[in-house]
Amino acid sequence: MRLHPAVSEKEALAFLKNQAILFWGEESALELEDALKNLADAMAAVSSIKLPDDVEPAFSRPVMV
Amino acid sequence: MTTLGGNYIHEMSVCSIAQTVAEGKLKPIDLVETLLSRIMAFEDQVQAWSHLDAENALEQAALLTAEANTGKLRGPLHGVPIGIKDEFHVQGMPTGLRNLKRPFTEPEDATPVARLRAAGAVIIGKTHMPVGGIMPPTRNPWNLHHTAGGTSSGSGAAVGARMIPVALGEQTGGSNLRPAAYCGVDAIKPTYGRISRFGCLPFAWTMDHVGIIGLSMEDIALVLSVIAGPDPRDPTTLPDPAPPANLNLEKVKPPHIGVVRNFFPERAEPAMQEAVEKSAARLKEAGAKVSDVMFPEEFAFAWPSHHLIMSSEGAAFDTITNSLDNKPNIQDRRPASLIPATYYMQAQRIRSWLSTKLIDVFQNVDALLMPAAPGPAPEGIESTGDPSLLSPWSLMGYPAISINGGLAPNGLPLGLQFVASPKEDFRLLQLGAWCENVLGRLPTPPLT
Repeated sequence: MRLHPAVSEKEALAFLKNQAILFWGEESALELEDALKNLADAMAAVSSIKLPDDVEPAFSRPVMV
Repeated sequence: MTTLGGNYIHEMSVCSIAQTVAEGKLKPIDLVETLLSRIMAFEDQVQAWSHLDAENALEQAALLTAEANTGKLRGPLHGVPIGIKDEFHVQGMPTGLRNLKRPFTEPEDATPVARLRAAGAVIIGKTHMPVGGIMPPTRNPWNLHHTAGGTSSGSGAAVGARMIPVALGEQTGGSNLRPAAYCGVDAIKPTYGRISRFGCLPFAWTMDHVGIIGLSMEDIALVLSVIAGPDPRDPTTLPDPAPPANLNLEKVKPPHIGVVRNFFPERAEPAMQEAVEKSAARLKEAGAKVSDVMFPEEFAFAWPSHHLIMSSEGAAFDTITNSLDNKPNIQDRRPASLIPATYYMQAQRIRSWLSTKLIDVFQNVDALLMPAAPGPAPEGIESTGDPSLLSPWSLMGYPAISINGGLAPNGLPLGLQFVASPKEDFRLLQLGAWCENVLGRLPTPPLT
């Protein structure tokens, strides 16, 4: 799944659904639809932002300036 | 013994308990007996405790009483009873969150629990939280038809019901401040790393914060001074020493408070936003400088970033604890194991970027004011309420407190959230105490 250019909610959901079917089958994927949609929305949101090149992940030390 | 000097013992603060025990005016055994009686009287209604160890608590209290009688005090919490969220390991007690089929008691205390014990605290038992996606039976002491919040449900309810003066909680999204706000008491989610997580089962390693729920900022400061500080068994702890125990309130000057004007007001119910406005006006009248603050539009990325990080890390842990032969369901976090690593890393980059960007907001104010929750505790116990007004600060690791914001029209408590810049936990507690002196505290809820 690409990160950039930004993905839409629909593209992210399709990706997650396909993966869920592969791992757990169609019935489970259907039951998980709401959870997958929430994740897809979040994925689409974070892929839409262009961050400055020098921003690194800091994990558990985000604010120790 | 139910009163001391004309006051109900079950309403005593941690600071007054510690002082009266040290002065020999209160015996820990009498205190613990009184609180256990109160727990027995109301536990059927409130259901705050997942594991109560009355026998052991009485033994501890008797020992501490004997020591106090000889002038020996173990530390600043000698004889102070405390409740521990189920998520923490307590030696000799089960951790329900382990969700194991067979009985299992922990061989060792979590670091914060061990530090409490060393300071003389009496561990009364473990408090309820959701386990395996099943909501706890805990009810709000202000109205038993409403949730106490979560996931530190039992800790909020036990302190709210005055079964205990202080309790440990934990916050990854909004799990420590929300139950305190819903149950009409105070809480802190300190700066990330301020308190060791060793012995606390994880939700999301990089966002789990040990928190404290208590009756006042002074009480919370005293407990924080005992349990904070570096721990070699948790490499994410800050190297800084624990903040002082005494808030020195006589030296605290009226603060400069920034009222957040975007993202939060639109998520709050009218009664909650009205409480923010009225409180800000009262603080201004008392001498505080009050300004409006607008967050940059990129703040909107806090929520999706938090969701992806918490879900991914939680899914990784769930694969350890859950049996993989079961199908995933809506209650667990395994669907998040499908999130590509690039998205997790992007969310972490956004987190770093936002955390740094937000520092500028504190150039002109001491703390930010916003609601702790959209409104009072929702009806029912099928949900523990909405954490969305708290989760940005769990994402960024900034310290946050919740104090009394008055009662909603339905008679349930409203919580005000104050947020300070990283590592300013002590100043935030001072500011919270100053504000609480102006706004007042809520009384004990009318349990009968």
